[in-house]
Amino acid sequence: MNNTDLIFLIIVGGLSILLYVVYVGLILKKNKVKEAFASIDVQLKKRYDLMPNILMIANKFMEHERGLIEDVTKLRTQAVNMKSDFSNMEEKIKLENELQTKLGQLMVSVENYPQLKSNETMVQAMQTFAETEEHIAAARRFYNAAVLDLNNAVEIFPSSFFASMIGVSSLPFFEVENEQQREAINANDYFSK
Amino acid sequence: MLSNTKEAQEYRKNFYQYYHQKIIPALSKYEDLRLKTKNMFCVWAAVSVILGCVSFYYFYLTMHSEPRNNIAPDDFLCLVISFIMLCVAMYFTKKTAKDFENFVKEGVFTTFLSFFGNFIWSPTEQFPESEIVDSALFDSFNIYNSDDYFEGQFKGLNFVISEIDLKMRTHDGKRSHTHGVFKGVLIKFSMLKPFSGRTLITSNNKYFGFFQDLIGSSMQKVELEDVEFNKMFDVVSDDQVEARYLLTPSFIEKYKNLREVYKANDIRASFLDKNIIVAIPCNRDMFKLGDLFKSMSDAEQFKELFEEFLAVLSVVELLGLDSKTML
Repeated sequence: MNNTDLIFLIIVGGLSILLYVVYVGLILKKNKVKEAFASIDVQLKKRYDLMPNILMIANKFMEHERGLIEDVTKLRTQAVNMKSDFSNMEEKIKLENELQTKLGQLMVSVENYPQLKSNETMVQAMQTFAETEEHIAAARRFYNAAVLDLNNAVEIFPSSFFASMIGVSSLPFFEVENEQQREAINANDYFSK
Repeated sequence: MLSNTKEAQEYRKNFYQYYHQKIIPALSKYEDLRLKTKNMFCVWAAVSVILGCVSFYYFYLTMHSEPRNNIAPDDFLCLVISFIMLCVAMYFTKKTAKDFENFVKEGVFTTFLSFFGNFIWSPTEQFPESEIVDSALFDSFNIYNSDDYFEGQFKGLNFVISEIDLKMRTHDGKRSHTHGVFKGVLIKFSMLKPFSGRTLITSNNKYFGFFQDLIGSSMQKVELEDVEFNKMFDVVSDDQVEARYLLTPSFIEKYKNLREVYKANDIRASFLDKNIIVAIPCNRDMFKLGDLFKSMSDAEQFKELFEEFLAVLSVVELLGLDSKTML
């Protein structure tokens, strides 16, 4: 083996290692996003499980909010039935944002029903709900951090080059669409007054 | 020392009144004892100085004996005896001051601490070493000393406060080296916010340098949204979601503020077993009371003690620990 062959082998070897490292990095980042997305799902599942109790009690007291309660119920059913994977991530995010906006409106309306505010079951349900909402917010932040990491890798050279080759693309953030949603719902606020 | 929160100002105002009404009457009986103890302290200190001079004299004689390496047995014996006596005298000098300090603390602390709430002070109890190790906040250590220990309830939260000094002694052949691991105040508060995993906040680059082996691979680095916070601290956790559930944007701001308030870059925190343990480095002796050379009616030492307590308890307000949402 002459020197030229050796240099060629070193270059090819180096490039292969670089390619592998970039590939592994991209896959790890993509999997991290999947993990983060799954963690949102886990938290959302808790919310879906809790919502029927809250809606049932709300239904008894909030006679003027029937429309809102129906909207929330409908959105919850849609969200539960929606398959959650990477292919419909954008739709899922949109639906969740809509559901959170409506829930926020429902929480604000609770203020107008003193009897509801003092109902013990409702108070407990709302406290659990507030905790779940905090976990959802945390899971979203984890997801956004993972997406930021992935999107940077997908958009910055040289990993951008490999990303398009292996079909890894940028993913959407869980963004706050309106001001009402900007702050996580804190049910305690409505019951501590 | 700290703190300009509204609540701290309110406490200061009330303490002035409390000091005059409750603490001053409790102090009068200690003044005579202080004077007696001070005299005893001075005697022991004088004996120590004399024995120090004697020891030095014999040390000088043995070092300059002629011919070299031919030390007179009598000189050597005197050196050993005087040195032992010096150690004994120094021990009693220190013990006299410490015993008085503990005696005063035992008598006065109950009155002083009831201003803040239901607190207990103990001169003998220690922050459990196993909890210090479990907190994973410190590099390994094999010497653990603690001074004051307080426990009680504040704003509905159980707490433990202790001054600790951690050191590591290593042996290199025949010589041993001791280096400081941590000296400061350790504060443990129960948390209203429920959590099950473990999350650590250490000053930047500390975790990966020191603690990785200790905790194992289940801990992952948590990158938060706050760039400034990420530059100041390293956060590691075994649950990425829970770490963010605990470290909300509001908590992150409060924690940065805590660093500013205590002027301590190396402030650390560990969330573990329904508690938060905060370690604040401090090189001076805190919670001092019963200085032999200060009159018992000297308000300055109480002012300092009060400010130290306020500083430590302000962690609750500064981090918003007294609310479930930590807002």
